[in-house]
Amino acid sequence: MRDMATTIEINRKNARRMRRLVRLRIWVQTAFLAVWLAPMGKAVQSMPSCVFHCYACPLASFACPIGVIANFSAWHAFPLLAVGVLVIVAGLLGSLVCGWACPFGFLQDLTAKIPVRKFRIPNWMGYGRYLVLIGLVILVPYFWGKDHPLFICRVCPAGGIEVGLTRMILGLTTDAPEVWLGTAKWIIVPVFLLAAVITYRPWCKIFCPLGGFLALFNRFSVFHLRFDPDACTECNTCRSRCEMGVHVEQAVNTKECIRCLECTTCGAIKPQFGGGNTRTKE
Amino acid sequence: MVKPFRKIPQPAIDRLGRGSEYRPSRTGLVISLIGLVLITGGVLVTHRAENETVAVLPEWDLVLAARIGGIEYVVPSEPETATCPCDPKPAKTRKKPPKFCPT
Repeated sequence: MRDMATTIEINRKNARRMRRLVRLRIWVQTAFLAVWLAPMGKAVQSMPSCVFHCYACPLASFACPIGVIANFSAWHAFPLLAVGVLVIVAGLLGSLVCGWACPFGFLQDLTAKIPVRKFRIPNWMGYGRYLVLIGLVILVPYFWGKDHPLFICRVCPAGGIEVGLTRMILGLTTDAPEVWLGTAKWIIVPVFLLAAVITYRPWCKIFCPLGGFLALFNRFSVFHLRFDPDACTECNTCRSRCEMGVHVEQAVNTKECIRCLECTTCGAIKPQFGGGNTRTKE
Repeated sequence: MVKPFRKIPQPAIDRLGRGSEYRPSRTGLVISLIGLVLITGGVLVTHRAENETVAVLPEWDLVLAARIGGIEYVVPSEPETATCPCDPKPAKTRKKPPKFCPT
């Protein structure tokens, strides 16, 4: 155990470095948006991605893994490609893609910047993600097919906002064919947008089946967060910075974590890829 | 259901008693390897698709089919204009709904 002066020095150094990295997050998210929206041709379009992004968008580069899984479930086939991509990403990064690459998460990060009073969503509501995954993505298509009103694409706000709303506005303002959102989406899209303003990442916390799946691997992934007791000054910054309601004082690599790395700006929690030295290098 | 953010007294951090959550990367790598096997399987496996004709398709073709053959948006219907045989003006044609709009 080090003395307090050394601890504070290490902590400051770590915190400074991590603050610089976390400040880049918005730019990394923007750069990934350019990847998801780059028309790269048919060969890539038939490959599922690892983020939540509607594949109906004409600019979408990859296919939405959740949409693919739901469609395959309706066909009673196992989606090897989609599950394979997700398992690789989950094993290597866990839910890091949620915090740094997901365009729908990015949208919610931007709406959360609107300065209004925010409400906290209780952690137990996170189990809703698994209900959506098992219910709307697997069981509903499997037993009732794609025409069921609860088929995931019919109730997905990502499709409603990224594609439906955009096409509707284009149809009204240009010569493009007029399209309208279905009744369900007329309710879902405004409710979701309002929720995204008054809370932080409501879709990710309560409903996202993809985030739920990736978060299951947070405890095992190669990339993980590590608590360094030698650098902890008990400043509580880690808990104060976490918007996802993770009990950072107990564990960091939990199902609620989206790995935005905000908690690492306290200086005592460090991101780590793979194994390595358990002690802080001086 | 939801409660507003407020400053609450937080429990003290037991920095010595708490685990560092350090772990070797073995498990994650094994999981990724399973993912790689699944992808390889997805590239090699073909599916028997039965529609009007029976066809054997590679999986990526099915992914593409899922992408473009989904649900269509509701296209607002225009009121049918009454026409009589003597009317030289043809009835207004309805705009075709977009073909590939899976949401």
